[in-house]
Amino acid sequence: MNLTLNAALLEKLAEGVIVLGNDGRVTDFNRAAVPWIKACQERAAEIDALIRQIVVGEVQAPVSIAHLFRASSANADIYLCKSGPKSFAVLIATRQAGPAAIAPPQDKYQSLLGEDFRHELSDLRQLLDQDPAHNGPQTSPLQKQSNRLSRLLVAMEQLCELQRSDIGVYARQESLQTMVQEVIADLPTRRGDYSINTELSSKPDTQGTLYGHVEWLKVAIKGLLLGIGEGAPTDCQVEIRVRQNGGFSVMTGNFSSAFSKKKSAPVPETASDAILSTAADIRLAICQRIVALHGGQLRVVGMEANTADRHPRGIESFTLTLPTGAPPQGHGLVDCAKCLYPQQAELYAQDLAFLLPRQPVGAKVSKEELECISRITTSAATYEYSNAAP
Amino acid sequence: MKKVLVVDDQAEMRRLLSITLGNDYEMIEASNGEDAIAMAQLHKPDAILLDVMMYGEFDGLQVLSRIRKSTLGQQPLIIMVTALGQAAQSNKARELGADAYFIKPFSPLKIIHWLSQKLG
Repeated sequence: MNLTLNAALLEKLAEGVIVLGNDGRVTDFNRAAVPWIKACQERAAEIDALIRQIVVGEVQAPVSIAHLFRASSANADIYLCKSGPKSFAVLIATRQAGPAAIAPPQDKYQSLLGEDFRHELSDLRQLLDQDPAHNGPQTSPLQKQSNRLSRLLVAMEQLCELQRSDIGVYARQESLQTMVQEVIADLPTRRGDYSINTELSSKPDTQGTLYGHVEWLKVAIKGLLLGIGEGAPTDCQVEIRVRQNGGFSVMTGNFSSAFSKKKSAPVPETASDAILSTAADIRLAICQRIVALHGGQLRVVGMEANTADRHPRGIESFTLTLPTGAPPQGHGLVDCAKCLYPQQAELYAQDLAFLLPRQPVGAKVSKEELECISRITTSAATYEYSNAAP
Repeated sequence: MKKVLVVDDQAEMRRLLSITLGNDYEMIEASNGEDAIAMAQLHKPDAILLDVMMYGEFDGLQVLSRIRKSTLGQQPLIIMVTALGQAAQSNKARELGADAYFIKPFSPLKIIHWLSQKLG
């Protein structure tokens, strides 16, 4: 059985597919496989042993592994198959309705951090300020509204500052893997296909943990993944790596081969001509905000430019790594869910999103965004934006 | 410009509301019930955003009651802003003369729209 898998095909499959690396770790999966991920990870050692046997030719793939999933496989046929030269896949064909799939979304978030709103606003205000002919009774409500939006943005910045200043007080411990799973399960759209690579040992108590504003981080990651989902090509893949030390990485694009091979893109000649290939690039701003709030590093790899037009085509991939550590000494752990600031920030963000629609994919980039992207893609093949954890 | 008095013992919430509304109204702040009553008499605000749970001699409901019983001339609009969502608190605030009751976290647009409708 030979599988040629891509995100679009995976998504169409009614059966569950979990793609494994040659070391048995989960590298991709489709929606139907979500309920089986945990069980698959719990049986990683046995699956790895089987993979080794297949590699040396002792066992011929596909091989039934339903016996490894006794508790949950009563209504399913489960096989280990080869999906490529160095990858394997677990196929789950349910005979009846399987375990519950991803819950339908209860709410919908727009961008939570206001970067694109701010640029739209600044453009609008600049237009109003530059042309006195536009300033009249008709434009007065418009001006008032833009000022009002600016106020909301400033207020939201204040909330972000509060998050940062209180990070030691409103802290708790949570499994990053659980958190990321929850965020993904709550996403209303999935144009990209997300995979979770735990890179953890088999001991469950060594799972990565985060100390900090978990609720706020959930919201931020959700905004990030939504941005990727809306702007990404249909075959875009997102990999989230949860590390042993509790950090996690988010990668987009062809992450299996892209890192370290890409060259930097040249500076565009004129800002106004530059078009971003996907709105996912703009999510860079969200990553920067996450790093500003939580510390860590943001590494960006520029996409190779088309030499004919000399414009950068955006960012090929980025890796966000958040460091974690023990909470500061002397701080009691307070349940973050009771903290009002993240919830208040969400409401501000939702109001802003309501007032100003998002820029369409492929829209012209603001000058600030372009400068940021240009700086990143020209300073080095990779650029690290780092900020010490507060 | 119409005046709005923000009463909250949390400086961050006062700042947040002042920033949110500061473009359309002249904002005055008080950090406790005693100051709120004094500033209401002194500045005669058009509206008061009043936190229910406050440290000090008077909580928000007591401030509301005292302002409604006072002879300020034209009574201000009073909006209670609170983390308490219980119906009993809301009913009590209404009985004491509150014009609106917003539960934290609140939508800033709702407050803006409510005030602009009532104050113009």
